Amino acid sequence: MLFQTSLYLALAICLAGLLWRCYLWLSITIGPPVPGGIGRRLLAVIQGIAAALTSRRLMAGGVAVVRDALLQLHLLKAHPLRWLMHFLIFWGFLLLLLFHAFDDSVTRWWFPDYASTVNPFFFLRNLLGALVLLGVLLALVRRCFLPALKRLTTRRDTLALALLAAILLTGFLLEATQIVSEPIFDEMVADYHGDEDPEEVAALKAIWARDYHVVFDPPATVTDALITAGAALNEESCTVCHSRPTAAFASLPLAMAITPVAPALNRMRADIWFWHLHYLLCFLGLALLPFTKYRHLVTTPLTLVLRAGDPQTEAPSPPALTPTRAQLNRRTRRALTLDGCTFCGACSRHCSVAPSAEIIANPLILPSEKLSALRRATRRHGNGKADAAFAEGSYICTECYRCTRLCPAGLDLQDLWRASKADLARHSCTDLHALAVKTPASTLFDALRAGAHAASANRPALDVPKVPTHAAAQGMALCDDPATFQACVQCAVCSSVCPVVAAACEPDQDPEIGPHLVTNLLRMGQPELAQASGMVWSCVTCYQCQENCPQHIRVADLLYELRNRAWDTLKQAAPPALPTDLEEVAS
Amino acid sequence: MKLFYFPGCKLEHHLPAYDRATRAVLKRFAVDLVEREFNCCGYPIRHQSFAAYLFSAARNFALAEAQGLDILTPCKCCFGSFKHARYWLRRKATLREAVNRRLAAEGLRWEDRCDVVHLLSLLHHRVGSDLLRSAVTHPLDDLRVAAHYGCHALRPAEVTAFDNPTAPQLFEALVAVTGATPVHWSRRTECCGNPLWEKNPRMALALMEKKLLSAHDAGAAYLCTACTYCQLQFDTIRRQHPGHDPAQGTLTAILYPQLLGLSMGLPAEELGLESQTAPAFTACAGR
Repeated sequence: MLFQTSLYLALAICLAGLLWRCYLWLSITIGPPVPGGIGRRLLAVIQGIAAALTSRRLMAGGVAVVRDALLQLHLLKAHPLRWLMHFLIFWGFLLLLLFHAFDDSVTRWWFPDYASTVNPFFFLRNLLGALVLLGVLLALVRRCFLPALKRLTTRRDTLALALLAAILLTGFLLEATQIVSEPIFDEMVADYHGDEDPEEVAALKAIWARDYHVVFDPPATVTDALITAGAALNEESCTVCHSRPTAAFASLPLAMAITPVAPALNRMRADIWFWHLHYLLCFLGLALLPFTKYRHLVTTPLTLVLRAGDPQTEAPSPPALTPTRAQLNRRTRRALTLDGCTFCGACSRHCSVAPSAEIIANPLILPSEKLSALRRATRRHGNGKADAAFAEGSYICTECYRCTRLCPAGLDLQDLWRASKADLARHSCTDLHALAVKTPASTLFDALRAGAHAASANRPALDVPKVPTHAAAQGMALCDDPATFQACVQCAVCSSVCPVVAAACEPDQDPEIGPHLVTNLLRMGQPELAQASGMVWSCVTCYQCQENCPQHIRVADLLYELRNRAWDTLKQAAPPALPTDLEEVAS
Repeated sequence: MKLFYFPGCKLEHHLPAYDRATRAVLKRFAVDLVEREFNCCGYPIRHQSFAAYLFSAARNFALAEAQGLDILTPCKCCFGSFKHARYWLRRKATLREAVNRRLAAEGLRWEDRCDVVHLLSLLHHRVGSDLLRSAVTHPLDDLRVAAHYGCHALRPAEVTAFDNPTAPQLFEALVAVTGATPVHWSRRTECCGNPLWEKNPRMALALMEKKLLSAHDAGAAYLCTACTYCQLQFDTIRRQHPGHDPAQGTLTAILYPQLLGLSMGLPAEELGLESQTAPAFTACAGR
């Protein structure tokens, strides 16, 4: 009764969860919005799949599933141990599911003489269980001992591994308590032996106590005569369905270990308790599938198939009134990508800008963390609008493609980053540098003062961790040392060779443009005015000024450092101090 | 000759042609490219955080030092970034110690045991003009080419030591090796504008426009680059903004290894020319 109810409940939750996911995949839009609701997106997916099934893409999709989903060869290429871990868990669990959980339908269909307690099934079940546990153990070791992976590990990873381990361990405990169980012995005798002649039962008890490790209370009498008689009875009634548990190399030692307390366990029917616990944990896993990283069992093959036939990135095209199928499907695939991440950490461990993440102390620089943040943001806004930390991480990404190439789930992360950056720009959440370029120097100066104030009050206004990253914190402080700029004679050679000064469209509107004006502000002890100068933000870093300075002043290096310092201060500035609506500033 | 190959972040996805052409050409000169997983050189983050930049660059050096090989990069921004890092690491003990403390967590250490070399310097100084010339089988006669230097390799010369910063000759010499005629143009050592792309696009395009006009006026048929970002500016970004292109479809941007490769008779596909611009180039070069 409990079994049936909980099974159907778990199935219902799983199905409802998957339907909810499908709804999200069809409704979340990352990247420039295209007209078309859920219905149109669904239709596009169906058309896409139909087209795939009737074209060469079918072949590509099939190959991708066999190679990457079933054999997981891409993991083998990454690291043999990683492949072993995943392969053991995946195949071990899959085979247990088919041949153990569905033994009545699958196993019996293939092997009509099947009984769970005869060999080789007894042995194979132990073997598969042990392999899955070994895989889980490998995963735990990796998560505990690889520093980069350890940093990325959160509750969701622990939960997934813990539940898997709990299912396996309760399975072994269930089998162990069944091995030692006197009540089960009694039931079996009643069911299969029929007439309960005390002498025959005693003989059976003797052989089952000695050979099958059943623990009787009081202990069964074992004599040679009883054994001889019991062996014959055993042969006649039991051995068809029962091998000796010697092949159960995992649960038998466990059974022997619990032998001292077995009478108590038998009295409380521990085997039944473990049975309930075992299947309830399995059903819990089933119910949690759409809501945890187990979800990748669905999303990874789906992503691999969808990507196999369509590896190109989106070509920029003007927004059309009727979006193409490809445009609609790309949005669906991006939403699927958000759900497809297993947080395995491969992308973040190999991220090209990971060293920056160490110094700037914003975890959202790393792809897997950025994806999590984007996922949370889409829950809140239904699109890629996100916060300052996410924007910072997004703009630090160099789009080197490595995360996309290495993702074991085949997620097109590069496409996701480009789309989410487009979203950031649409929501006027641009790169801080670009924002400073568009902000008038006076406004920028106010923001710098506000930021400095916030920093001095130790009250970061944005949710970016406050860490001094500029050169001063690391001992390189050109701006702090008057010797760097006091030799300036204001000859303006720097400004006469500066291509930005030459190309400035409206020099009358930007009187601050020119490197020599910046060094002058520094000479006058006005570092904040210097940081707010348009020259600092429009410097093209060509080093003409520095190369040509007759006084050998490190002009371009100074401009770099002023940007660094302003950047740190602006991160502390309260949002109202810094206009974020670009349209407003531009107009 | 063995070198660590540092393609830089943008090559794989944004400019694969440069990668292909570089490999194809270097193979012919027996330059053995050793690869390993480097991180970003730090160039883009330098605007925001010198510390993050320096650590990024130093980590790459430390990775290369483990095998005692120099780093080769086809990108001038990566090159400049490495040069600056080495310059400051050598001069500032506090920076060096801070970086090494952090590197120690990975069992790495910067000990100044290797240098960085740009593709053009490698070809000019280590491979040498004589060997290059002997490899040219299909000289690109009558082709007028404007060599674009790229700021981050050229300046500040005190740091980069690439060539004479006011009157450089290295790139023109390399163009001349292919049989093409290097044109003299007034803005050859100026900036392409790309460092301001996505930050101040108007300025970035204005700088690009001025350069194109200068090369066009000098009568160049091709604009030759040897930097990932310069090429992206003069090829990808320029094509998206035809309004800022005074050359209007002529003056195609071509990467130096592509130019050299064609003069060596390498097939266009091996040089990544099929996917990229320059269909007219192959025709002009007689292939």
